This record gives sequence, C-alpha cells and structure tokens, in this order.
Amino acid sequence: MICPRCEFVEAYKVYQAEDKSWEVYRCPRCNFNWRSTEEQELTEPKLYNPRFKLNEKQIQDMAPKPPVPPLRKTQDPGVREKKPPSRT
Amino acid sequence: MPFNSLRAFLDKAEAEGQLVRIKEKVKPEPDIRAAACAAAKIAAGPAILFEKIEGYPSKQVAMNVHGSFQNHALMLDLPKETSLKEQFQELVRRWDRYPIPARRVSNAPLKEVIIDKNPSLYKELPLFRVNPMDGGFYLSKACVISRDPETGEDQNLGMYRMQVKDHDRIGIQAAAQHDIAIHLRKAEELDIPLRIAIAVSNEPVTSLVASTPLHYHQDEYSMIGAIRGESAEVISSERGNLDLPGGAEVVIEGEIIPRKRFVEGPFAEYTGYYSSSMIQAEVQVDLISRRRDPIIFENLYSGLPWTEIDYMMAMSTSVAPFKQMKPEFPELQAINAMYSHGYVTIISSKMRFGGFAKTLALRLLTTPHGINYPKFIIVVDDDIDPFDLQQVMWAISVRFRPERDLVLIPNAPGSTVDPAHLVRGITTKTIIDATKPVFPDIPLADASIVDVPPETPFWTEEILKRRK
Repeated sequence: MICPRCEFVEAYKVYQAEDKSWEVYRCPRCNFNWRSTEEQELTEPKLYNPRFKLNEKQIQDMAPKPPVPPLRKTQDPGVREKKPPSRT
Repeated sequence: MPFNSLRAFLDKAEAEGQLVRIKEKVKPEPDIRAAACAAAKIAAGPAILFEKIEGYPSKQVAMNVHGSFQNHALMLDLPKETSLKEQFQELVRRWDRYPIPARRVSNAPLKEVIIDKNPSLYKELPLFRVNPMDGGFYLSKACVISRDPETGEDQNLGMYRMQVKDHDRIGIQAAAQHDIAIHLRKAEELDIPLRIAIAVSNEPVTSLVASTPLHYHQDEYSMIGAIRGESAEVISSERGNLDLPGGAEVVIEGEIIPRKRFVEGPFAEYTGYYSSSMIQAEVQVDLISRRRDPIIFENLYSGLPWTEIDYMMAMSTSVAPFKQMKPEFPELQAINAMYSHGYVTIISSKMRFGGFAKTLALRLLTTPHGINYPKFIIVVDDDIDPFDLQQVMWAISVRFRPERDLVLIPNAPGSTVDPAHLVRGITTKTIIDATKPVFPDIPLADASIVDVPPETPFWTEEILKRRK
C-alpha cells in the first residue's frame, strides 16, 4: 500500500471495522492515517493536495516541538559551583 | 446542581432544547465534521449527539457541547440567555472560591472495562478525521493529567491536541508555554518517561478549566470545584499516581517517550488555518479503561472561526488574566479575550493617571496566557463594555491618538500556530490605547461627551411594548 501523503510504499492496513464497512491504513514513515471510505483526494497519492504532501527531506528537516533539552549533568552535592572570576 | 458527567450535562441540554440527536447512521467522514461545523454556526448552536456511526455499532459521538454561549451558560447552571458580561462576572465571583479540593471516590463508571493487554485506540474510540487535511484522527478535546516527575507534585490537567497514530501510539502537542511542557522538559533532562493519563468525554467544567491558563502551581481540580461550587470527583489511575476525572467516559494511560520526536500534523487549528507538520512528542499507551458500551466519544471541531473552541475558551482566557491582574490593579473592570484565544484582547479599566493604559497592557503580557497569545491589545475606559464591539470601535474612533497611543513591541513571544508569523513563536505586540487622556496627559480637545437623554429607558420600554 502506498501512502497518499508521502508515497512511502510500506503503508499497511492497521484496523478493520467490526462490521467490515471500512479499513484504516497507516504510514510508518509520516504517520498518516486514512480510512478506505474517505474522499479520493485523501486516499489516492495522485489526487492528494500537493501543498500537504511530504517527502523524506521535509521530514528530516522538521523542527522539534518542543525542543529536546540537554541531559542534566549528575551533580555531586558536595561540590559547589565555582564563582566567576572577579572583575577587579 | 453541578453536573457529574458529560451524560448528565447532555440531559440538561436536551431539556433546554440545546441538544440535537442524529439517530440515522452517519459516516465518520465527512458527516461528523460537517454537522459539528454547522451546529457552531447556527445561532444558539446546540450540542449534537450522533447515535449510529458506520463501522462503530456500539459507540456514539458528541460534538459542539460548548458550542454556543447558551450552552456555556447551562454548563455554569445559569439561565441559557445569560449575557456574556454576566457570565464573565459570575465566573469572576466563583473564581474567588478557589480552592475547593477534589473528593476521591473508589468507584466510577470509567473503571467498568479495563483493557491492559494490547489496547487499541482504533477499537475503543469512534475516531474520525476532524478536517480533511489533518494528518490523522485527532483527540481534540481530551484532558491530559501529568505530574512534575521530580517532585511528584504540581499535578496538571490540560487540553492539548493529540493525534492517534497507531493502536497504542498518540502524538501530543506539548507547546513550550504550557504546563505539561515543564513536566516533559524535566523528564527529558532526567531521561525518564513521563507518566500521563488522557481523560476523554468529561463533564463540561472539567474541559473549561483544562483549557484555562492557570498558574503553574494552581490545582485545576480545586478550580473545577470552585467553578462548580462543589468538589470535583476524582479516581486514581491504574498505573502511576494520577487523579482522573471521575465522570470521564474513557481514560487512556501511558507514558511520553523521552527525548524522541515523531512526525505530527498538520491539524486545523483555532486560527482557521492548518498548522504545519512538525516532529512532536509521542505517548506509548499501555492501558485503556472505560464505561461499558455504548460509550460517548466527545470531540471538538475547530476550523474557520467561530467554532466550538472559540465558545469554550472565550471566557476562560478572559477571566484568568483578569483575576491574575486584579489584585495589583483594582481599577480593572473586565477583559474580553474572546478572539482567537486572545490574539486580540480588550481591557476595560478606570485610569489611575495619564499613561496608565500602557501599564495595564504591559501587565497583561506577563500573565501566563498573555506572554504568548495576545498580539493586539486594546485598552478602553470603564464606560466601555469590552464585550460590546460597537462601543469598543467607538472608543478607538474618538479617543485613540495614533502618534501617542500606538505602541509596537517587536520580537516578542507569540503563539506558535499564528499563521501570520515571520519567525514561528515570535510576534510584534501591538497596544492601542483608546482611553480618554487624564492628568497629567493633555486632555481631548473636545472633552464633553453627549449624555443619553435620561428619559431613554422609559421610551425603550414604551417602544418595545408597542412593538409587540
């Protein structure tokens, strides 16, 4: 199955309705989810709005929200921070 | 009487003509989004309960529960025709009852079914795409509970957009200005997962307070109690140490994976624009507890304003900064921050001395919500009702002197989903001082306001009588 948004070829069926009226698919690359009964513009790669398409480079360049903070340094409770040198 | 669950509120709304049931089978897409959009745009828009959804035989969906000021008034147990200004003043009074701590219960319907092996969000919730170009199926009205991972204190209840990405994975938007981002940052500095619970379909004051910008150390459950006038009921989570809203229909428990980000979005935001795809935090779900079917899944339609989110947040973003500023500025009369989460905010106040309007606007910008959201602040005198835009526009028309009363603060913090940004998260704050200049400032050249004739109220009554 091809992801309609990023065209990754390893998208797959992830769920089917109990009464089998539709299936849900997911893309493991861009996390797009879609239902088989949605509009063709959302389920067909060729018809998906180009403004919302994604590719690998765009994904690699995405900014993190929120940013990942630096790991905290383990502090030795017995050692106090040095004072900055005096200006005099 | 305050409501203890979404169901209790829907009963009240139905009795008041503010709930419409859709009994026919609907498709998850596009029926639910279109009906929810319509409901919010109808005058006195009702809540909508979809009773039959294709593919989800044992689930129902509730939309537009907060989607009119009539429903907002009913939530507060006020007559549905209560004016906006009266609802604002009532919330201001109830805020003073804070804190009314939560009451712990040992049993609640949300514990009727507990799924702790291979939970599937696709199976347990009647998911649907809220807007066509959203990146997936969103939980747009669920409340997230977390605690400071270092101290175990400062429990937070907040509302953040969440994208279902797999059976047991949900993306969560933890924007830096929100309390959960403080918990997440600490967890990530320590490289440990952050335990959270996601409560779906809550009694409406819970959703109101979850979307209210309280101070970091304030307890949302104690504020829910204050607004309701009665303690909120909470029940313990199955894992971790979190308090869950007792009236919820479904609770999803899990942990935010530390130090990793995953593709999320876009999502049609309250701005009326899609926010772009970014890499965001993700939750590994390990347990779902819920009522026995048929559950009601409450979700929110956000799109071209006004939609339900504008009604739900109108008063909370107005009352919170008002209460945060009032102790230092007793002159304050009211704040109207109803427009796109307060991007445009109107402050009404008495003036202590010349230039005081600028002081008030700057103070707004240091409240929790004011730091990021407002970018256009209008200050008016106390003779102007900030909820009456005819009056506000009049004040700007005749009291605003651009060469003295326009202030621009460039390169200031802004909302990260503002479509007008040049740099994401950065904006220019604009202050419009539309107050009458007072001593020691130079007064207006023509300072005599025309009085409304004192006989006007008499004649208003007479005309209305004859009109019938």
